[in-house]
Amino acid sequence: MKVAIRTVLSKQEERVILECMEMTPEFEDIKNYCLAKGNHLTGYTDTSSQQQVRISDILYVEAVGENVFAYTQDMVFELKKRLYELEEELAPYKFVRCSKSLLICLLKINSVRPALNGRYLACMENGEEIIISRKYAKPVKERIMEET
Amino acid sequence: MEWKEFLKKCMIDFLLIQSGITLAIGIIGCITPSLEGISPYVFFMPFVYAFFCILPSFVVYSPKELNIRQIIVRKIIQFLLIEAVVLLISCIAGSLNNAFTLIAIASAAAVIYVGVNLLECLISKINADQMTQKILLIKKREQEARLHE
Repeated sequence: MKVAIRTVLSKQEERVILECMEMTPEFEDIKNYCLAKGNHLTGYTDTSSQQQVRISDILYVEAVGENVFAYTQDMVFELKKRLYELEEELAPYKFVRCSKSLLICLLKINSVRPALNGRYLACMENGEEIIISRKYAKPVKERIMEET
Repeated sequence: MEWKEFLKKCMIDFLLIQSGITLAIGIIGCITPSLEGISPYVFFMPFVYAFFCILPSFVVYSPKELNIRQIIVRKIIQFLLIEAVVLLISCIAGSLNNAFTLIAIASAAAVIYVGVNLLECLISKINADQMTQKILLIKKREQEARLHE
């Protein structure tokens, strides 16, 4: 299979063009990979198997020591990235830092209720409650206001 | 909370308490008959009260995130220390003449402490409700955008 790479001047012009006689499973894979790239993250499960995790499925991302995990409705994936990198990368997907070790997706919050001492609890779609620490309460509120 | 941020908050609280006590003294002074021969040291009372009432706040400070139980325990200790400080200052100033005055001062401190905490809870509740409403709005918009796609 021939591969041709042409340099373009802007990000908007970037594209992948597949030229094939018919849509074989291999081409289907390449097509799916290209479509998924950008709104997926590479995650690893317990069995070390690599998987593409849809960003829109992630409820929150947590750093535990040196490791970073993404939590979906019913799965946990290890991400081989630093939390601060993910904070930047996931910001367009409405993720916001809510404590020193947590990034939370605003679209996955059902409600927010106050906790003691200036903290808040975000009730997530899976029923879990995530602490919005006192330090991050103001930036979280500001981000929510910015989004509306 | 960072130490610097905590000290800043203490400083603001100190000024608020001081101005609150000055205002209370002013109002009481207006409605009670004027006392002649009042000691000039009385005018330092707002400063003294505010300074010593801020000190118990250091009990609730922690650089780490505290759990609910730890916060409640620290808040109770803070309240008891404030009561002790208020009564001690009143005693040194010679205001504690009888049991009634003691109960009145202790009750006033308790009412203010509970009131301040309730106000804090109310503000947090309003903020939380505001955030919930805005989040629901963002979610609704997102869903509509997806439908249009």
